[in-house]
Amino acid sequence: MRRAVFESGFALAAVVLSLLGLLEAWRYSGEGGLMPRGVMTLMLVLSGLWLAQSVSALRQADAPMLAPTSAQLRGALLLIVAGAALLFGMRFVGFYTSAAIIVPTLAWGLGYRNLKGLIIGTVLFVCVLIAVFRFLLVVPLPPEIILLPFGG
Amino acid sequence: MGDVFQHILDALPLVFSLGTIIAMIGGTIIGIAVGALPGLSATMGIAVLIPLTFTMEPVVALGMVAGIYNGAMYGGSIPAILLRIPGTPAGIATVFDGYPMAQSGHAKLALRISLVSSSIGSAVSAIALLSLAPPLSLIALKFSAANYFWLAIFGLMTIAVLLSENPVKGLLSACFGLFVGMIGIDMMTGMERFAFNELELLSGVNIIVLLTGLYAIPPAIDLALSPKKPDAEVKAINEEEMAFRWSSLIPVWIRSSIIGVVTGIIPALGGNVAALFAWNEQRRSDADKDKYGKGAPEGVAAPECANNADTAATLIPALTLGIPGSSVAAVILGALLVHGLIPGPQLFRDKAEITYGFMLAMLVTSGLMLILGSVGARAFVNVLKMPTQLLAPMIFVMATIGVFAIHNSMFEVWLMLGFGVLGYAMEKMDIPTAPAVLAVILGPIAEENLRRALLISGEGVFSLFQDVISLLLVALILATTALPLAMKMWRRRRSRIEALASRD
Repeated sequence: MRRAVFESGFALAAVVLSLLGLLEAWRYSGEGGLMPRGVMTLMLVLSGLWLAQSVSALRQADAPMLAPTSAQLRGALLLIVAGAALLFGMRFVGFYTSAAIIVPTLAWGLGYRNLKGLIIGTVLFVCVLIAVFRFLLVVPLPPEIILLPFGG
Repeated sequence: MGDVFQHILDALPLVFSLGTIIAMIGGTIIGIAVGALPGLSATMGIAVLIPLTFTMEPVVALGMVAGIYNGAMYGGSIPAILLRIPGTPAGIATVFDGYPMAQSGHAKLALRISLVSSSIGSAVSAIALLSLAPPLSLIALKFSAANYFWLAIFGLMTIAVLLSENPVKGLLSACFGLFVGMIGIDMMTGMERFAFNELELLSGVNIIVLLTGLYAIPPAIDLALSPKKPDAEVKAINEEEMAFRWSSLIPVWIRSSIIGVVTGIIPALGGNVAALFAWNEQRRSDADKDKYGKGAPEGVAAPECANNADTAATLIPALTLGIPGSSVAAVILGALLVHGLIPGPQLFRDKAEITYGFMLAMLVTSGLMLILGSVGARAFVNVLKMPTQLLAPMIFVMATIGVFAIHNSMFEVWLMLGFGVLGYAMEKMDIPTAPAVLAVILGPIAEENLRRALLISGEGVFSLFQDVISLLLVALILATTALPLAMKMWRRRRSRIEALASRD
C-alpha cells in the first residue's frame, strides 16, 4: 500500500475527530472553554492542511510504499493476542505467572528458538520483576493463583 | 558568603559519616535502577522509599533521597540510548542522538557521554544550590503569569516546529498533547472537559501513561517485528570505541548546565523541558545542524547535562520559598518535612547543618553516580546483545507492570497500549511524538497562566504584551520558529527553481 493512502486515511480521521472535539469544546462555557476551543480549532486547521498534503502526495509517482512482510503481519497478530492474554491473565492468574508464560511463548512465536536462553532469560526476568515490584516497591498486584495455597 | 562556607564545613563530617555514605551509594544504585525501568520515575522511587527513611538520621535519609534523585535522572538515559525507550520523561531528548549512536556501534561511548554529562550537570546544579539558592530564587519571583504563558508557548513552538521536517505534523502532535493535557476536571472552574463521563478520566491522563505508551511500545513492536540480529551486528557491540575528543563537549556542558539550572529555578518546567531546550539550543548553535538526530555525541551530552543540572536547581525555590517546582521537588519537600525541616529562609539558619548536608549530598552523589555508572556501563551494554524476540516481550511486560503500578488501574494499562499503537502509527508517518509529551506538561502551565494573566489585568489579550520579558519571549518565539520556517520555504523554492533550470 502507498504510504500516502495510509496518511490520507489518518488525516481524514484526524479532521473528523478534531471537528467532534471542537463541537464538544463549544459546550464548555466561560474561561474554561477558551483553551479547548482554541486548541481544537487549531487542530482542525492543521488536520485539514495535513489531509491536503497527503492527498497531493497521492498524485506523486515516486511516493513511498508500506509493504509489511507476512512474517511481520503474523508477528503483529501474535503481539495483539499476547497483549490481551497478558492483561486478562494478570487479573485472573496473577501478574508474575502471566509474565512467566507470556514472555517465553511470545519469544518462541516471534522466532526465538534457543530453549536454554528462553528458560534462563524468563527465570531471571521474573526474579527481577518480583525483586523490584514485590519486595522493593511493594506494589499491590492481583493475587497469584498458584501461590494462593501458600498465602498469596 | 562566609557563613555559607562555615555551614558547609560544619556539614562535612555528617555527610562523610559511614552511614550517610552507605545511604548515598544505596540511593544512587536504586535511583539508576528506577530511572532505567520504563514507567517508574524518580518521584515514585523517592515517594515509595520515604517511609523507609523515617527511622534514619535526617542527613542519612536525605543523602539517600539525593542519590535516588540524581541516579534516576541518569538512569533514564540508559534505555533511551540502548532501546529508544526513555526511562523517565527527562530522557526523551537523549533518544534523538543516543539511540542512533548505539545503533551505529557506539553504545558504550554514548553511555559514557551520558554518564559524564549527567555527573557534570548534577555537580554544577548542586554548586548552584549551595551558593546561589537565595539570590537565584528571586528570578522566579520576577516572572509574571503572562511571562509563564509565553515561556510555555516558546518551549512548545520551538520543539514542534524544529523537530519535524513538516511543521504541520509537529504542530499537530503538539495539539494532540494539548488535548490530552486538557482531559479531566478543570482545576480553576471544576468543569469536566473531554472526560466523556468516564470516571477514570476525571483526574486526567498521567504523563507516565502517555510517555510509556508513546515511547516504550513502538520500539518494542519494532523489535518484535524486526528480523533476527546478524551475528556481525552483535559482535560490533564489543568493538573498540571510536576516538573521541572529550574537550569538544566543554562548551556543550557549559551551555547546557546554564540552561538546566535556569530552567530548574523556574517552577513547573522540570528536567524534561530543560533537556529538550538544551538539545534544541545545541542544534541551533551548531553550524552542522544535519548531524543531529543521527548520532551526534553533542546531542547526547546536551540533554543529559541539562536534565541533571535541573535536579538541584529545582530545589532552590522549594527550599527557599517553599514552592516545589516539580512533582519530584514536592516529594522531596515532603521528605524534608518528615525530618523536621520547614522550607523558607529560616531553614538555612535554624537547621543549617542538615540543610547544607543535604545540598552537599547532592554534590557527592553526582560523583558517586560517575563511579557506579562506569562500573555498570559494561553490564548495561549487554542489553543490546539480547535477542530482539526475547527483549520485546520483556519490554511489554515491564511497561505493563510499570503503568499498572502507578494507580493499580487496568484502565491506564489499556490507555497506555492505545497510546502505544498511536505512537507506532505516528512514527511510521514521520510525526514526532516529543511535542505531544511536552505539550501535556506545558499545556496546563500555559492555560493556567493565560487565564490568570487575563483575570488579573482585565485588559484582554493586550495584557500579554505589556512587559519586557513577555516581548522578549515573543521575539524569541518568532526568531526560533518563523525564521527556520521561512528559510525552509526559501530553500525548497530555490531547489525547485534549480531543478527546473537543470531540466531546461
